[in-house]
Amino acid sequence: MDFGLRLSKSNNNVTDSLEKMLVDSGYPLFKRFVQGSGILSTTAGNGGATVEISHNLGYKPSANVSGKIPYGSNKYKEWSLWDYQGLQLGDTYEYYPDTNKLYIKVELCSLSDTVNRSFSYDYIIFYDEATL
Amino acid sequence: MEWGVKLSKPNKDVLTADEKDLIFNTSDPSLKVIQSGKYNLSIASSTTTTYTIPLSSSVSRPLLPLVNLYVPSLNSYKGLSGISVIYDLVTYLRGKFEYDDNNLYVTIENYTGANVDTHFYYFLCYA
Repeated sequence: MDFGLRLSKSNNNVTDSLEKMLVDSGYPLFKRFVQGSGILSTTAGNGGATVEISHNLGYKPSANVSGKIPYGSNKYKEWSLWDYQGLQLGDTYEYYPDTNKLYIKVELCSLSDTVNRSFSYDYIIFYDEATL
Repeated sequence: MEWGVKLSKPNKDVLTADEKDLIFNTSDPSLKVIQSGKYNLSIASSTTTTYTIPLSSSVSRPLLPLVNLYVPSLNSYKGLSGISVIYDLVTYLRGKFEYDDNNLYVTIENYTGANVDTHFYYFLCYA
């Protein structure tokens, strides 16, 4: 038996193919659990810092983090990159969940870890599991 | 008064299922494409071009942009990220995206040695 709920985009039939649908219950939607923003601060010489955000879902949820990397443009980028600083050294930005927390981390290389720094970040945690 | 729509995944009781076992729940904001588009590009050789895409006034952070650049020499799409990635060491076409409260910025560098006609798609997602 085929059952479910479909909602089509304007001027399309609900029996059309998937790309013409707004919602198709055969495909789960990402459901927001919580979102927020903050400042990650580092102290010169410590090599970086990690922010821990509790979610206590009991499983690894999907998440996304973006932030202002304070070099160059000072615009928001996904918090998942290696930012080259010179001399084959770079800063690493990453985020990952475990069953109770989301970790937002920056590792600064010796070239950029010479002064205290502050990084603005946004995060969003979904109910949807990162691993099935 | 409690109201709304919940739809569970197969073999899950909609009355008792955890949120992760729901297809959707009107109590939980879902990830939505709130703005999207396609940009056709004609990039001169040995240039870097930044395309500024105004965000609609209803947009607020956090945002999840997805940007896919077509790389003609590879005949494939490549997802952009916050830093420039060289997609083809021979032809050296690369790009990145960033955003602020007003605009999405897509930067393409063309050091292929020739003009490049290509395009990118973007999807701006929000929950």
